[in-house]
Amino acid sequence: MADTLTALERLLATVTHKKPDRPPVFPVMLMQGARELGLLLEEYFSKGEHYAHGQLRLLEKFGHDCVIGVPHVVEDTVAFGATLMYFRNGPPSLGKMVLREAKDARKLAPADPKKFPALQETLHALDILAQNVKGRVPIIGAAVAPFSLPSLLMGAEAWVDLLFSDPATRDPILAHALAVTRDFCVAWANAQLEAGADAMVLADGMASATMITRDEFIQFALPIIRETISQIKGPVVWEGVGSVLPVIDLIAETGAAGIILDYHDDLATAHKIAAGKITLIGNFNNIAMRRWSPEKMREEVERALAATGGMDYIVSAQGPEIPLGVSDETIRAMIETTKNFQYA
Amino acid sequence: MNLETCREQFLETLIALDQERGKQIIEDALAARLPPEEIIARVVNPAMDDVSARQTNLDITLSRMYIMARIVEGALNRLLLAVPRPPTPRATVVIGTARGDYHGLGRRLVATFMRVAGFKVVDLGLSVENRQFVNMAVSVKAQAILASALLVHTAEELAGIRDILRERNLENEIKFIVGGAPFNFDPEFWTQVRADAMARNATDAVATVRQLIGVG
Repeated sequence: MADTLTALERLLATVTHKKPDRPPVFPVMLMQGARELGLLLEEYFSKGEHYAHGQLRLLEKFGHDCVIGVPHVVEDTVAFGATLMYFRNGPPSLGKMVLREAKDARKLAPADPKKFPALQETLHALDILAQNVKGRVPIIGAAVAPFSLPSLLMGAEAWVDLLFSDPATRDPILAHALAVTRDFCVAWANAQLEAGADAMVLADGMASATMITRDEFIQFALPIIRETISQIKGPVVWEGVGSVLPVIDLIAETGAAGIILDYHDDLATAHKIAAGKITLIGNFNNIAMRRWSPEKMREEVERALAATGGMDYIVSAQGPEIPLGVSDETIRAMIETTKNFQYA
Repeated sequence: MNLETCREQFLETLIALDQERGKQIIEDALAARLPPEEIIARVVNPAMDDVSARQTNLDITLSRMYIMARIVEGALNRLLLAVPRPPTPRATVVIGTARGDYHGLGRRLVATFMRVAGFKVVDLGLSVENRQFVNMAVSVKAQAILASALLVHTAEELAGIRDILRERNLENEIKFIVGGAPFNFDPEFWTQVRADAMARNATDAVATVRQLIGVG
């Protein structure tokens, strides 16, 4: 069936709980543009111009419903002194931990994202994307959520040790760390929106139900998520990078427009909680996907669309990026199956 | 206090994540002249098995499992100081996360479970080069390398451990076991990195190592 809406109109209809011409499909391809341009991943990720042109090339090739303006959220850590390590087969990761132990979080200083060359490159990428597709195709920005950013700086072990330590020791450190990371996240998100992003994804791996209980989520993560979203001047999608089913109802009340599900989360159950409140995104197993045939992908998309009725739902993977090992034909099957969907 | 009441109390403190109480129970047990090796075998070990079963049933989050492992580590360290003769380890294993991977909660859990099960564990920590895994395994005469990853591409790079083991003709002496989210998400992934086996969780790691290297 021919599309009757632009990709941006389709997304806006979806997040306002109206029926679009068909559900949006967001195969998040952070790395595949390098292959299109014949570049090494390090070259591709390091230059905003390369990255933006890779996204545009992928959009032309696949005809999906978004471009992603940020190479990888791990780049946020450079604002706090981290260096990045590049790989031939995947996104960059940290070169080393910035903080040696949790109490060093007291020394975290406010950081202006616009001052760092790596982040300036991302703003440049967003600017190029805006010049080319703004108003037609959604441009997605991304940042690490304030609750999870400290764990990237000190390591998950130190962060969890801090969360479960004596409140008298913990609370002042936590309050300082979260204030710094909240202010950074808000400034970075708003800079991305000003540069051309239409919506922001906040990656919050330490706040998923895989990591902490619902009660701990309410105590530690929810207040900072709420504060952060209220200060970001655009729609926000929250990503738990783990199971989120037990907290969908809570995220729906923060003002978030969408939530990215883990593949363990039952889509039909999630949809019952979310319908009319928040848009669901996901939740294909992007690790197993490396071995999926186009036919298997079609089955998975059909299953997801059946579970949601194609309402309040964006077809995508958990993670949500598609690993390099997934074939073009399998990615095309995700897009074409969504495009062929017809509402009952 | 006897071993049974000690076990019950220790399990309660683990579930409550009460780190100070955990230390106190072990001190009380030693003060009551319970043999430290019996406390390891009949208090600490079964308590870990109990919480591990709960995690398999998704009753316990990863953060909580990690804190429980910290309490157990503290107990174990104290008890090993109290045993008259340090027990002979069943075997030695080397553990660490893949190069570029700083996700260490799972690694710490596995290390603790292995120690409680009587293995000597050499923990190389975070972001370990493949060659470093093998060099250390040779140096400490380890029977197994346990490599963990959270990211797909860092997990893929672990295949280099197999290459080095093969180059150096060490495949019979040193077994190579992987674990971490990508291997759980795709149960065939471990064959792609040419590991000898994968472990789905910390309990499984102990069972897998025991089976592969043939110790009880």
